[in-house]
Amino acid sequence: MNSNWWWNKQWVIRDNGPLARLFDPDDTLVLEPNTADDIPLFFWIRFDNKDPKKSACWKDRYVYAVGVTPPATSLVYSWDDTKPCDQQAPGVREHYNGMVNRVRSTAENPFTARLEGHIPVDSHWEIIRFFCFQGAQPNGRDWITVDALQKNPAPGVHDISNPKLLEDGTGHGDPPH
Amino acid sequence: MNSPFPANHSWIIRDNTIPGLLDIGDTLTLSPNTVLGPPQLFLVQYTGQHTFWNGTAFYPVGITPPAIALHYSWDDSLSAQQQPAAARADFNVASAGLHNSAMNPQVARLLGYVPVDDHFAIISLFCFQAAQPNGNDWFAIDSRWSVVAPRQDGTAHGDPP
Repeated sequence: MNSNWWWNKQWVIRDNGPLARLFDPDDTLVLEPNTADDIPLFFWIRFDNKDPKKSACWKDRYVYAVGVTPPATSLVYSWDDTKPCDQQAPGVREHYNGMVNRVRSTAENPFTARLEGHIPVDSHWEIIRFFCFQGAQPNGRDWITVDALQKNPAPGVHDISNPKLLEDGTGHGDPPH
Repeated sequence: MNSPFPANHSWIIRDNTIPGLLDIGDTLTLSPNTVLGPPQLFLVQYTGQHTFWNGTAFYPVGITPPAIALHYSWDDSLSAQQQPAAARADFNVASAGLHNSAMNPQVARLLGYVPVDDHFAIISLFCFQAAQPNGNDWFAIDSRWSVVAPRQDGTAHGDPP
């Protein structure tokens, strides 16, 4: 995450998955380096949300590049940016959700390379992680995932009746055309 | 903050203003991920009753080390309540200054988080070499627990045994 291809690049959210409280499809974000004169040490999150309440979560927040090893991805399908997430070709959305979960499963490993920060949501902090993948889609387009961790579920416990667990999750997107 | 200085150093909590997170006498040791070059992260080894600290990762972030000026040395043979009032106040002022700067992304620190109950506390570790007049090192642990309830935030501090 310390190369510069993803800096100052506009990303469009294509699917907000379980993170509807943080952003909507077609919201955009830019990760802006803190300096243009040297190697940046952190990045401002410039999220352009349609919903002002969601904008408030991202205002003046930042992430740091941390970790060492980039997570692996292997997207077999390309996302069709002309269609909303629920009108993708059969299997595509499920494929992306599977890849999102794969990335998410590595995110707790401290060695995994990522952009990490925290944002205020309601009355608590959420841990935010960005993963940027260059040319990850078969059509050569880049891909980004945004992971949010509201709380740590106990290992092995996946109680879907607990709404707090359902609020964790990952959204994803790619650059505009 | 990615110099070898904070690494493999056992730190003892000498004063505690973060109930539920740290107790006086707890120890933290920061293990670097590598001894070949600057570490990218530190893993915490903890002794005490708040075992959620164990294995948490802290990353060196920021640019500018915060400035502190301690005028008194902490007497490690006395409890926090038995310190001279001026000494404890001096350390509290330094801690408060760090708490104020902990949300500035430019400020150099070790940053991580720990799960507490059903949410996260954002933790900044500040380590200062020979910061006390007697030459002892000093460290402060800052917590941002909740956005809307600042009484739950705070700073603990300590020094090596």
